[in-house]
Amino acid sequence: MTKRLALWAAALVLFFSGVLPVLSMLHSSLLLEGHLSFSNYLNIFSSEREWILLKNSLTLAFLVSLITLFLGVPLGLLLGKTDIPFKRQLSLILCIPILIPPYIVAVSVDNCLGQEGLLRLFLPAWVLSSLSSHYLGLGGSVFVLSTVYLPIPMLLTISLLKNVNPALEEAARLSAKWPLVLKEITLPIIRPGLILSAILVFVLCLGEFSVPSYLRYQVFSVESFTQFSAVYDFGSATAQSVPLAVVALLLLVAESLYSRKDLFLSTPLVSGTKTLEIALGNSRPYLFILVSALAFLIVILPLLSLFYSSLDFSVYKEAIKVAGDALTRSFFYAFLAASLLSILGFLSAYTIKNRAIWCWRLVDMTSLFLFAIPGTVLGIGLIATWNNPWTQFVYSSLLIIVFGYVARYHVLSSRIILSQLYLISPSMEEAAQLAGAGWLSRMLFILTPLSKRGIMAAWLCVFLFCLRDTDISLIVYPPGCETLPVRIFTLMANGSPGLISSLCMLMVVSVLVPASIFWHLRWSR
Amino acid sequence: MLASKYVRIALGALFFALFSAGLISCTNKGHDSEKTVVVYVSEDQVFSEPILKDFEKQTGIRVKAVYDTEEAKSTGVMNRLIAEKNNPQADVYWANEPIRAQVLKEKGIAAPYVSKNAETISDVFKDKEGYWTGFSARARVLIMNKEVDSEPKSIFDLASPEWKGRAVIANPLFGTTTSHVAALFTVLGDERALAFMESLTENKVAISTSNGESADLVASGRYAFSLVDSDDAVNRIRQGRPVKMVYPDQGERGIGCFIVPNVVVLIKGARHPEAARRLIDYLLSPQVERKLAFADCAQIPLHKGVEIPPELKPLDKINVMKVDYEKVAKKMLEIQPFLRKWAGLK
Amino acid sequence: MVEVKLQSITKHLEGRLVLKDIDLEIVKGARLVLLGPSGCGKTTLLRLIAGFIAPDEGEIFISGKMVSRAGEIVVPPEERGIGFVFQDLALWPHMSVYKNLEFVLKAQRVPKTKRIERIKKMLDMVGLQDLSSRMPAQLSGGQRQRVALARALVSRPSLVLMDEPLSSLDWDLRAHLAKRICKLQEEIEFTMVYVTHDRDETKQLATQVVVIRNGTIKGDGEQS
Ligand SMILES: Nc1ncnc2c1ncn2[C@@H]1O[C@H](COP(=O)(O)OP(=O)(O)O)[C@@H](O)[C@H]1O
Ligand SMILES: [Mg+2]
Repeated sequence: MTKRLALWAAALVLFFSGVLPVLSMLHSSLLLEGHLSFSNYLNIFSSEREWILLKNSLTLAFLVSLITLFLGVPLGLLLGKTDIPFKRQLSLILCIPILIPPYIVAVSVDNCLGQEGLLRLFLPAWVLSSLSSHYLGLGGSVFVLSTVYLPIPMLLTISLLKNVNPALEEAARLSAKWPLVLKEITLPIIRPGLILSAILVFVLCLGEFSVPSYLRYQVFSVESFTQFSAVYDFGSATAQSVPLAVVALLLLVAESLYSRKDLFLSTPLVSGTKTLEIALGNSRPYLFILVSALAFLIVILPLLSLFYSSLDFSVYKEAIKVAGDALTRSFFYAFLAASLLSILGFLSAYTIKNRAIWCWRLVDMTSLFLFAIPGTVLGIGLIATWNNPWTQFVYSSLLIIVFGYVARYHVLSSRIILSQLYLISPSMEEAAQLAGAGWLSRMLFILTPLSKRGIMAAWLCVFLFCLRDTDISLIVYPPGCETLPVRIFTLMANGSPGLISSLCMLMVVSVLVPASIFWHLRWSR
Repeated sequence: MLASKYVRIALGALFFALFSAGLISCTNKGHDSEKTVVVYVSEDQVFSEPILKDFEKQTGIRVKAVYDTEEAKSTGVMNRLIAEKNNPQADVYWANEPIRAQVLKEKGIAAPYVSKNAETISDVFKDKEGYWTGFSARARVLIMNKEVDSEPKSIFDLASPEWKGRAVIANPLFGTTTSHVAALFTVLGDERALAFMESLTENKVAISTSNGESADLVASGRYAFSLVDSDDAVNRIRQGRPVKMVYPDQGERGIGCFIVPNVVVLIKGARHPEAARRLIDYLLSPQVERKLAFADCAQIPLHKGVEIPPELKPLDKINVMKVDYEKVAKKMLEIQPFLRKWAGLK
Repeated sequence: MVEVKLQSITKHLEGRLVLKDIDLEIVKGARLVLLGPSGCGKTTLLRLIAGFIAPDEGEIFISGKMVSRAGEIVVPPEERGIGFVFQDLALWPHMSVYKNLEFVLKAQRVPKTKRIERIKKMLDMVGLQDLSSRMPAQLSGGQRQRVALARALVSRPSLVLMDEPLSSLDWDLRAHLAKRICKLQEEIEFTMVYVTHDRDETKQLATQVVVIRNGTIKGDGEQS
């Protein structure tokens, strides 16, 4: 009884925070002057322009997921499996870009290449100007988004490697050298995870609007925005956002079907055994230099240039003055959402794994869909659903923002925890059940401790994603209660470059501190 | 291990502190008293926030704001207002152009309010029924690079062979450029306006993503001139870039310079109507116009006799394009499909 | 002739002493059974011989050649010519039975025609000829066991290490497979180190028995 109640409650929260708002938007997209009509959808591809934009979006997403995959996996191998020095520090540095809102990365790279930028000290002017002319458009968008999303395949590789049964590699090492072992044994075993990471990057890129628009590369997501911003036509704006959501959803669904088939691959590992480490031997210093150079080029340099243009410390005082409260709020919202989502994600993961309620598949699919739909649609849907006199307490309080985060990032927590649950043998719960433990105490005292790592990872992941969220926060934040990314975003229009840079630095530091503390906890385990 | 235990305790304490701080900062005290006013703002936060802060200081009324940015084509505020129609949260909307206000009026979201401070503002910049009132305005001006010898004098120079391939304008799908094009349609009539737009294409006028970018492209010498907002031009001049600002179509027979005032709107069903009116009065006062004129947005006051910085021309020295903003707003929605096609990737 | 020689091997894992001052010689062609309660360090010893980990102190020789010494793996596992049957079998889950065997030969650059021939012969020997295209997940416990055995033997190693290979099977299957292992060892003539905690298996298999307790050798003896 408690079990059904809890699982249904979790499903209902997802329903009210995400499904209902999006449904209300879809409903309005099917109405034209009060009648059912598909004209909004029939008009989506009314001109050649839309096709070109769609092509641009797909090109961008494809290139970025390709680059991040082919760079992220080797990096993951190097940092997760070899004896390369300073691997912790290097991984943390390479992760910085994903922790901050993407347009800040775009700004900082721009800063770097700009006429007053840091690179001016190293590069001749003509190189700089040709670089910065290539920066605008596809090239820059690919560069920035690749930098931003590189950590996804990289981190996933690192963590998946730790889950490979060491004996599988050892068995192969008896006859083969490392390169062959990696190619034929290790990588194929973690392949489902790698494909998921590529798809995740693809979906995130499709929905990305701020970076391409900053770098003047026209993508499809601009269409929905025009409808929202120029004509204020919710119906057609929602319709315009559907094609990308459908592409994203199809990919995610294909992935989830595929990964289910491959499930038998994940052999639960015997606890305590460690996977073999690759000794790099002579190439160790060279590879270290290579990775450091990469980290310097794509992370440190842009950050330095941000820092460089905000060197004036009075600016920092000013930044803290104008954004200190926004920063506190950001942490608070992210903290609430992450905590709530750890619980919801756990319950949903349990639902999905055990097919515990009849709509388990629906829970999984809708959370995927909510991740894929543009934030604007979800945000406005939230307003439409929750802004009425009876639910005033939700809409006029921070609950609405938490709801938005819950709907948006539910899939991250449920998937991360799900992958952990799959590693736990069902007999664990069954044994406790035979011993007479009720469902609640089985969850609390058996499954939760066993999946602690997954829950913590999910918490952190959601926390960071909420902390950097712009698109949902921008639309639903209660008046006077904006978050730091929103504040930076709105101040960026005509704000002084020094102030913007220092706000960005503030954002970077405030995200890095919790991230590195958790990093420390994870590795010291 | 011991260390990580302390780290955990520290983390716990940190979170607790955050939790309480967040709760305190976000409880909506006295929501329905007139001690608070909720304002949605489309004018850039950098310029609008100081004004609102001053209002707080002067009146003791707490201002809760939702900001938006035109530069990034953000969709926040207007869509919020529309989505919130049945249960409005905002009391006042500070728009950076009249067209949006007109849309609100038509959608039944605005309420009429005639401020006494608006008496000295020309009727051109006010809604007839008092649904919106204009103040501090931007002008749509030409910005030209100083290196260029001859000087464009009219927006029709965009279509003249002399400047073929040497001019740039912002994408007319967004922002003030949209309003400007719509205004041209109302002034010239559909036929001539369409012909003008087509001739832009033939004359190879480049398209940038924003007025700010256009101004930069002219400042860097990439293009000879562009049509931008006066604040973009003044901004570049203050930065010492080699550019000049030209008010277009000034002669007696010229169609005049298109003026885009800020606009303030009282929201229908506002929860704090009294505070809202006070804020509107404040925004429409000469002192605010003066501040906005000297700020980096360099906006032209609509009240007579307000002190202005040297880069600006007072309103009565400008030949202003005579438009009916209500018609412009209607036209703007009407020409959307055309604009989308026109701006399509050619 | 001595196939494997351990010289005063000591090994710590995570700060705990697991093996202490082990001296051991294994004669070529012997069937040595390492007997001891679980947790006493048997697996660790095999992993040392295979070259997955390096000893903290002492040296290891295979066929007279020094392969490991304190803190260093001198000869990497793939050059030691060792077959290994893991406690949990460690069949590669994404490869069919055939592919599992083929990987080993491919890694050692055996030409294709020879590969096919040797795999076929090996599968015949363990009685799996009909199952070569099955995936490991589609096999029964006993069948998987035989695949693991075949994979360890297919490269014709001179030394085969077996870590409780039969522990997960039921009693009669165990006796049957132990017999089969004996037979295979006689046919192919490899040196075998067999880890178990089961006395019956020991009786069935061993030509030489070594008892380990708390990380040290408590006694050894010949057995016919
Ligand atoms: N990777 C490891 N890290 C720490 N301790 C280990 C590790 N592997 C094994 N041990 C410990 O070393 C001891 C010997 O382990 P093992 O060689 O696996 O024993 P056996 O195979 O005889 O059961 C056990 O107490 C075990 O807990
Ligand atoms: Mg063992």
